[in-house]
Amino acid sequence: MISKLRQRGAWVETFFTLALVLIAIAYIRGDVYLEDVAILVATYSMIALGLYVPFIMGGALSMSYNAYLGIGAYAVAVIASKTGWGFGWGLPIGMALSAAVAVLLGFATRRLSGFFLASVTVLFGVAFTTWLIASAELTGGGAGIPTFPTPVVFGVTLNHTILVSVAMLLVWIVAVLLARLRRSPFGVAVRASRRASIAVEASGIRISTIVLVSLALGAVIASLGGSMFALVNDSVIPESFAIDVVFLTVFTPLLGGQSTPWGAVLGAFLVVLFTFELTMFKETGTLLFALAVLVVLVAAPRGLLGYASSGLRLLTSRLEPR
Amino acid sequence: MPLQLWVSVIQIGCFFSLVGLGYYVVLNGAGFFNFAIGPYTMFSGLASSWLGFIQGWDLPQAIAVGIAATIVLSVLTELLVVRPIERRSAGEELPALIAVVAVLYAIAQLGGTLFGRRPLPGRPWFFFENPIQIGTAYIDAQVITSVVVTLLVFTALSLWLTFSPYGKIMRAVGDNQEAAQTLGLPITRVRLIAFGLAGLIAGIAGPLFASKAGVGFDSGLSYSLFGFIALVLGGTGSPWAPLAGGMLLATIQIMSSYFFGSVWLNYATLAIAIVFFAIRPEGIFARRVRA
Repeated sequence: MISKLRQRGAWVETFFTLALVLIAIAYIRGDVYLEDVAILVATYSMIALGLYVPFIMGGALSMSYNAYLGIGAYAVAVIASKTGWGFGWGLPIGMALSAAVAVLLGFATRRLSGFFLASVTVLFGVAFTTWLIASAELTGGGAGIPTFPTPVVFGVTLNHTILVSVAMLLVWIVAVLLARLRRSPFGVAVRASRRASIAVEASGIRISTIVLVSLALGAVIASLGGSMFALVNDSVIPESFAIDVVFLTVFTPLLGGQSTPWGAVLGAFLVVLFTFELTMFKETGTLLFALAVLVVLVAAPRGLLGYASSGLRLLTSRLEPR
Repeated sequence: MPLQLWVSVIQIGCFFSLVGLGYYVVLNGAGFFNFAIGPYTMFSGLASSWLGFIQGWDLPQAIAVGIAATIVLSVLTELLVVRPIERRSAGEELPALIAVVAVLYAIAQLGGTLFGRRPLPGRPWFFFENPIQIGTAYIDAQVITSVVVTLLVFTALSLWLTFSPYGKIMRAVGDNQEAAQTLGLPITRVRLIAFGLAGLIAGIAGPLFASKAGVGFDSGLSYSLFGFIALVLGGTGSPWAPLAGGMLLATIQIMSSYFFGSVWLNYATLAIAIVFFAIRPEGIFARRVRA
């Protein structure tokens, strides 16, 4: 009974969020300003969704996501501008590279947790930006790669509007897949490893393996977000991939609610609202965002969606016959 | 390496070790790595520079206000954020870690909002006309000030830990918090004192170092990271350990950027953190407590 209810809930969630995304795509279509806002929300969502697996599910605060975002973006830009290959190669190459870097870094930090892991991964993110600026012959240095050929698929030029729509749909796909993954045996093992690591090991699952897999998965998702960001903007500059972007996105799943990947997307939307969209917050937007995060952490640890869903559950339990 | 760079090593090392000492105090008194220590340091430095250059205050008043504000920020971190979250999370480390990262970010944004987002220079505390020349190196008044103030802070803190009643309690809490609690020692008050002391140390370090390198609202993150590495390199065995760790980190950073180019500062810092955290997380000077 419970599993059936849960399945129904999952389908409702899937179609409800698809409807929301399609409405948003239809609403912003053609408006360049709204499209810029949308791609920022989509990019932050992808970082937040990437963080979701190792951080929210697994409890490991790995912060080098600006590097994975940057690898995805630069893979697309470098391949489109310096090789004769199609733009399509940039996405898988970026994802593979990000996953490889995440696994190597995860292996080097496999014995670290908590404060030690957080500080090493921040140092890695900082070193990545330094490297981007220093390796000018590959990445264009501080100026980045100002423009590259517009992608064409089957004779159709992918313009700004199409690319933004694709990016938003990709966010939906990733969030739906992560919601499934969360309930899968792998997801249960990752979540259980956070508090009951001995029990997980005892049931024959190597924690070190699932940690590396979840880090690689998160890096792949962030890399995909970076690739879409680069394609939409038709350029990359190193400032977009500084460690600041991690500080903007790491709290989004907590703000939105940890119990579903959609909390990360909602949180990303709120960040953009605070820091980019509302001009009245121009100077104080990031401060207000930081204070909002602190209030949520101290007073409302389940996040917005957490409270919304328990409110909904209370309502439905009243309505359903006993 | 030119002698002048060794003078820089000493000055930067003093700064790293002061920040490391801030970590050390909170680690002992509250069993917690206070990552917000870098932004406290930034806040004090930026506040006193802003009061001095933009508002035209005299140096001592500007520094005093910067230090006082930093102590308040540090105590508020414990009262409003760390204490409620640690009480709720029942020994789990992650919620407090996330919260202190959020505090780190919030204080940086507070500094940027209050004092502007442009970096400001600092002012030397003392000044004399002709720098002392030793071989090829020149030592100006601010280097001497940094060294003297750092040694004073370290000496005062280790004396306080050894002889004052609360210092003794803090060492007991650092050795074994549960045992200290069982003995009925005032744990919550010691935690508050630890946060206040860390604020004081960070408050002194901020304006002291701003006079060398300037300070911006986003400087706090690297202060936090470098201070943390200084603490881990030195170890927690003695209040003087962060001094050794700070000097070691400064030597590594300056040598790597001198020999391989400035970008190597970040690469070498990352490398030393990965290697040291993995191989010897207890640091050079570790304390063995009989269980």
